Formats: sequence, structure tokens, C-alpha cells
Amino acid sequence: MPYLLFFILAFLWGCEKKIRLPIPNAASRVVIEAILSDSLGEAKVQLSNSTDINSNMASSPIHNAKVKIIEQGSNTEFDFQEKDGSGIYYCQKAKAIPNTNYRLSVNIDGKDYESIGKLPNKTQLMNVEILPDNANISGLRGQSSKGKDISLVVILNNSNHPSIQVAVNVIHKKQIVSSHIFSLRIPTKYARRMVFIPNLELSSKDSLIVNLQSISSELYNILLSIRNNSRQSKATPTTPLSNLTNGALGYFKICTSDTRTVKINSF
Amino acid sequence: MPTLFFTLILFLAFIFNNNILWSQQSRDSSTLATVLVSGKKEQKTKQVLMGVEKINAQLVNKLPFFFGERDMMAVTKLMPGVKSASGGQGSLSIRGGGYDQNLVLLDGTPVYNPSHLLGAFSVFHSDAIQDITLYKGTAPARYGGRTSGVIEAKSREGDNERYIAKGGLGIITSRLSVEGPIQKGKSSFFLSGRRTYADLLARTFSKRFEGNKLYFYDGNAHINFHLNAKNTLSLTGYYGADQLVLQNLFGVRWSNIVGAIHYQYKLSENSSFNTHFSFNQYKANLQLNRTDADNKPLVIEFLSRINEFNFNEEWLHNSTYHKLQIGISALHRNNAPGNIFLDGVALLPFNRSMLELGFYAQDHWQILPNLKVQYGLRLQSYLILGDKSNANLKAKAIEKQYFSPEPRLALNYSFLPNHSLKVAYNRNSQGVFLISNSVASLPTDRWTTASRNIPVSLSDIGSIGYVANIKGWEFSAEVYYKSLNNIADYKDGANDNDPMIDQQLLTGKGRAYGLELLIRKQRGIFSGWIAYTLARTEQNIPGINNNQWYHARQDRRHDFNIVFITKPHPKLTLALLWTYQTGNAISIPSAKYQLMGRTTFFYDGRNTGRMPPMHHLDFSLAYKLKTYKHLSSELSFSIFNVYARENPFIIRLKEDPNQANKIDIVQIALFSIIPSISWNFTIF
Repeated sequence: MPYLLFFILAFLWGCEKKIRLPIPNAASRVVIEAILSDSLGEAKVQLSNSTDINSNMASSPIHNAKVKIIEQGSNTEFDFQEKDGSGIYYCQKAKAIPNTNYRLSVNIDGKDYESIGKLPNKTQLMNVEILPDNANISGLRGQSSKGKDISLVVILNNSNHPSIQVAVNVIHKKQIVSSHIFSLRIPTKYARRMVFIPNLELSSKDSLIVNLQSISSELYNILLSIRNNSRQSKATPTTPLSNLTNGALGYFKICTSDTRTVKINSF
Repeated sequence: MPTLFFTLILFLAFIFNNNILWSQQSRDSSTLATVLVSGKKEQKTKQVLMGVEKINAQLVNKLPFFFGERDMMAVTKLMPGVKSASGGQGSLSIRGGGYDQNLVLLDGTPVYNPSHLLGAFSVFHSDAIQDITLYKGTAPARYGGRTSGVIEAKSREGDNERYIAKGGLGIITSRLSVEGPIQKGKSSFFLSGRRTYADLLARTFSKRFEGNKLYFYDGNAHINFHLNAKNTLSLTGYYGADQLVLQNLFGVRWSNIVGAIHYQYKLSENSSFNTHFSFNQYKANLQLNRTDADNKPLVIEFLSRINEFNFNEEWLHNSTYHKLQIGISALHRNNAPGNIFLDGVALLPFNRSMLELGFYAQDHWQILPNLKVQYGLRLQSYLILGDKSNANLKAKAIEKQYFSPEPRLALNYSFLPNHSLKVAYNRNSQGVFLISNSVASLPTDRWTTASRNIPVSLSDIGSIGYVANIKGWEFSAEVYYKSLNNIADYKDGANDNDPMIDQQLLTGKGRAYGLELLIRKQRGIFSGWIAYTLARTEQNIPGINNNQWYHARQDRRHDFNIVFITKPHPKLTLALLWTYQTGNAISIPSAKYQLMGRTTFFYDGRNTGRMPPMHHLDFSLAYKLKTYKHLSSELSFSIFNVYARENPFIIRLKEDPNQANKIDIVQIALFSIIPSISWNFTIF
């Protein structure tokens, strides 16, 4: 936090300009973003390659990979198929059940990448409230921000276990407009957590979908490292953690899922 | 311990300390362009220690600096082996050491973060300071607690015969000092104050700076009592604070307090006791103004602080061939590495206390007319004290103890008149560390101390050098190697907001080595020097960078300084300064990819990249105006960074607004070309 603010201060008082630095080219790495939840239709695996830092491409999708998730114990295999050449592989039948280990297996050009995980205990999303506008940051240069600042209050029931890690995604018009992760370490039956979404343009007929996922503590650390990496404000910039083998970047997430839809009535 | 101390009588002496303690400032400024070191000047070829520089106000007044401000600390950066942090910041790296590894003292009292406004100014300005002595590697045994260099600033004593007022009015800062006798010939006082008003001027020219504050102020006080021929008492005080505020959204404030009492008792012409008590505090506070869930104002503060109480007792004795120095020291330190407050209520407050005890003995021995040696031993003990304030912790009185015997040795052999070979070795230890991010050095970087989990760090430094003085030219070449153990660094992905800072650190070893070259002309119509350093600094900390050696943040390969001073007319002094430094080592990603809809960066290792080099040309001109009966004055004009080089302060990554998915590397530079004009006066 202190370093992010100093970046802002330096930006205001200093001169900013684009430069080129000699950067050794890193070999392209495989990136896997795999999700398996306890709800049908949410399982997907996105495969891509990393790109050079100076490249105009965000990523380069990987096609024709062999992707499956094996339910250990029963040895049931869920095969994933690529859709529309997007590098995203889906399996409508894949769904996680409690107390069962799942192994992700991805084969790209003869090389295997794997990960194992287990479904955590479920946390229910009890309620979602929308608070009035919270525009306490009107713009660092004195300009007003577009849209509205929405605060959601997420009330959780975590009576099942002493500490949980959760991820909250706010979806608007089928796009994730905000995602948050947090950890609840204090054992309480009900926990309220506020989620702040700045600059979101909404009208009175809009709705927000709030999706709550319970995740393992290992995955919480991975998602935290991804968030810190993109913010560039942390003490030691580093490649995010990964729970995949053979040097693959990304993660394999097994989570419970609970969703609420909130309609916007008025502001 | 006191009994042992007072009964240990060995008749040795300490030439060098005599110069530091007793040097008198020369007031004849007209000849000072030709003399670069004042006081009881000893030629470098005759000094037994290597890597020592003494800087006084008279040299500083001739060199161009920021906003026309005379800055002694800035001169130290022009010496070989001394480098500043990125963008001209005040933090110093001495012989590859970290920015926290230097002991900075004001009249024997430690000062943390000795700079204002991110390094634009130092806390030592030449009106209030008599001189600064820089030890780059081999410091006397009286100094301990840091593993790199020592910078000792001595306060200016007031004139005990007449009243004098000095000051300067500039476009960015102004200062005033007053000195005079309390009792003529016996006691004197010196008071000074300084303030900058950069933000006031900025607001005048641009509405963009409305609601913003950017200023510092500081004040020095020094009182001297020569009670009688045997007894002298002096008091020193300093307070300085900086404030940066952004539109009432957040603010940063940091401050330094120093208070010291020094008493000297002369047993005889050759023997004396020195007693020193002091207190110092460094505090950094970051404040955010937010609102809570009920839209009520909420103040979030992040506070780090160090408080220290210090006691020193020392005995000095001179004889024909020996100069002895024996002493004890005790320092109590209380440190809050970073506590978070919500509306004034501390969340998980965490404080740490430590006691540093030291005993030292040193002899300077003139073995032969052309061979002298200085040898000594410092015994340093660190006691980590338990936190008794929280009964739940069930802390012990002493949680952990570290002990470090630290031999010191320096040898000077003059194989020819005005030519010397020198060899030196020092071992040092350090129990307090600055934990900083890998990008920039900031005043809110956190100081923490050794603990049960983080041991004291150790350094061994050896150096060999050659010095020659030929017809007013000085040549020197020195090679050094430094080995470090138990140095700490943030682990990968560390949480820098964690009050329990130990959990975010890993420890390991380091090494630094280099070559320093200096050519200096000390007399004549022009004077100056050329300094060059070739150096390397690395760290190896298990758990970081795949357990491989990596560049330390302060690693800079080349450092080049050219200083040229000329006095073409008795009233006119011109100076030019050009400096060049290779950029700091930084962590730069070598690839990018997408996760969760965000651009994510892949890093090959820690500190694998390098910032662009820093270089600038500075110019100054000083003209003495007509002197009246009680007033002399001077007009000075300077330009910092004549060719407006934008030297990087921070490097960051930014998405290109015109091209989707394109990442730009962007640098932020703090200072461009800065002209300054000031009128400096003395009323007597």
C-alpha cells in the first residue's frame, strides 16, 4: 500500500516517459487456467502461451491439446473439448463432489502438465446488499469518475469450519467486472465483507450476479500472488505461484460455488 | 564493567580522533578554493586509515547543488566508492553496502534517513555543520553497529567573541542562523533554521497543485561551555520534519529528533575523558483518509518508529609513539517496524526492544618514521529484549543474545616520501535493518531489528591501496573485498504491510568488491578531482532466486565523478560537476500472460534488469558583493542538471492506452533542469 501511493505521488510530481530496457527474451511458457466447481456447466480449462513483454499479443491460445480431469477413486474421466478455436476447453458433465480428489491432466505436444486438488467445504452466500454511492475518490487529478461506485456487502455463513478462503466475482452483462479474494480467519457464524466496485456504469434495469467460491488455502495464496503481481505495488515483484507441474504457469482451482443475482432498482 | 574500564591503563594515542574532535573552522574563505580539506590537515599518504574523507563547509560552498542548497552529504557522493540511490536520492551505498548499513552520526548521535524530500536535501546543511568525516571501510573501533560506512557530522560551535547572523534567501528554500557568546571567551550558542516552500510556489503557478503540500523544515542548536581549563560541556539539538500531502486523501510525514550532551574532562595535556548521552527518534507516518461502510470518515495510519537512548564513555591518551582510545557504549533501542492504526486504535501493535553494548580498545602506533599501524578490538553484544507489555506473549527478559568480537587493523607503509602503501581489515556487525522494496528507497521503508529469527548481520572487509602526493596532485587507487553474512531481504511475494515483519524476510550472505581510483588537484588557480569506481554487489539468500547469486538492489557497475573549481577573480568562483552512475538493479519481467482477465508478468529472477544510467552536469557561480562594516554577502547562481537529463526515480509497467495488450516500460523522473539563485549574507 505505501508503495502504490508513492507511485501516485511520483506520478504527480515527476516526469513520466516511455523507455526501452534491454530484456533477455524468456522462452515461451505454457499457461493453464483450470476451474472445476460443484456446479454443472462451470468447468473449463483455458490454455495459452506466454508472450514477449514487448509483444502486442496478450497471449497465444493453444489448440489441439488433450485435456481431462480424472475423479480419483472412481477413475471417472471428464474429457474437455476446445470450443471455437479459442483455446478454452469445456466439459458440460464435469462437476466436483465432496471428499474426492481430482487430477487435472493436460498434454500439449507430448508434454504432460498435471495438478491434484480436492473440493473444500462449502460456504453459503446468504445475502447481498447494495450500499449507496461511496465516491470518496473522485479522481486523483480532480476529475470526476464515470459511472457509479457500488459497495456490495456479502454475508457468509461459515459455521462449518474455523477459517475459510473465498473468492467473489461480480458479473455484469456476462463479464466479470470485479473479483476479490479474502480470507476469514476469525471463527464467526456469519461474516459480512464489503466489496467495492468503482466506476461501474449501471442503469436501473441492470442486475449484478455475485458468485461466491470457497477455495483451499493453497489456492488462496496463488490467487493472492496473481493479484499482487498485477498491481506492481508489492515489495518484491515475482512470478505468481502455481500448483501445476513441469513449469506451467497458472492454476487448477477446485471450488464450491454459490450465486446470487441482485437487481438494481434505483440509485 | 565501569571498574574494569577505569582500571585498564595503556598509554596509546589516537591521532585521527584528535583531528575530528578538535579541528577549528578556518574563516579565511578567500584562499579556500585552493584547499580542499581544512582543519589539522594530514596528507593522505600519512594517514594510517584508508578510505577516509573529511569535508567541510568551505568546500561545499563552492560546489553547485540542488536549488543552490549547500549540502555536505552530497559531496560524499562525489567520492569514489560512494553512490546514491536512484534519481539522486539521499540514501548512500558505500562500497556496495546497503542504504541501511551506514552509521550516520550528528555529534555522536545516530540519525536515520538523513535526507529531506526523497533525497533532494540532506539534514546536514553547511551553515550548521562544521565538517563531515566519511569512513568508507575501515572505521576506528569506537564506531560499531553498522556493517558498511560511517558518516560523522560535527555541529558548528558558535563564535564565543561576537554575534553573527548568517542566512540565505532563495527561490525554493531560505535559512537563517544566529551565533554568539553566552559568556565571552567561555561559552557560545549556535541556532539555525531552514524551510522550503516549493509547494507554495507550485500552487501559485498551477491549480493542479491545489490541496497538495510538499515541504520540509529543520532546526539545529548547539551550545558550548568551556567551564574551565579542564572541563567542557556541549549540548546539541536537532529537529527536522517533511510533509507530503495529496489533496487531503493521504499524507506522508517523517521526522528526526536528536538531543545530545557531551562532557569532556581533561586529566592532563595528554589525557582526557569524554562522556556522551543522547536521544534520537525517527518516525514515519502514512495516513489515508477514507470512509467506512456507513460513510463515516475513517483514518488509516501506518506508523514506523525508532527511539534510541545512547551512552558512551571514552578515555583518550597520547604519548610519543602511541595514541590510545578505550571506551564503552550502551544503546537502548525501541522499534515499531510498522503498526497499523484505524481511527487511532492500533491493530496488532508490535514493538521490539534491543540493547547494544560495546567495549573497545584501540592503539595507533608509530613503529618507524615510515611505518605506522592502528589496531584495535571492539566487542559488541546485542540483547533482544522480550515484550513485557503483552502478558499473553509470556516474554522473557532477554529473548536472545548475539555477541560479535570485531578486530580492526590498518597499516601504512611509506616506501618513498609522499608515497604510501596501505592495508586494512575490519569486522563489523549490525542489529538494525532497513527493509525496502526492490524499486525505490522511500522514507516510509521500514526499520526493524534483529530478533530470535533474524540474527545480527556481519561483515568482513579487507582493502589494499596506494596513495601518492606529487607536486600538489593526489593519486590513489584502492581495491576492496567485503563479505557479508546474515543479511536480510524480502521473500518473493512478501506482504510489506505485515507488522510481524520477520515472517516476510529471509537471510543469507552477500559479497561486494571493487576498484576505486582518484586523481585530485588541491592547489592553484583551479582545483578539483576525478573519481572512478568499478564495483559489484551480490546476494545469495536461500529461497530467493532459486538459491542462486543475484544482484543486490544497490549494485551499480560504474561510477564516475568530475569536479572542477576555479577562481578566476578574487570575488568570483565557478564550479562544474559531472556525475555518471550505472543504473540500479531492478526486477523486470521477461514475459507476460493472461490470468483471470488480467495481464500477469513472468520474472526470470530477482534484480535481473537494470535501470537506465543516471548522469547530470551541474554548474555554479558565486560572486562576492561589496562588504560593508557589518555585512558581507554573496550572490550565487546554480543550475542543476544543465542538459535536463531525466534520470529515473522509479520504473514501472503500464498498459499502452493506444494499443491493446501492449505493455510499456515507463520511467518516472523527479528532477529535471533546476536553476537557482540565492543571496547569502553574514551580519557581524
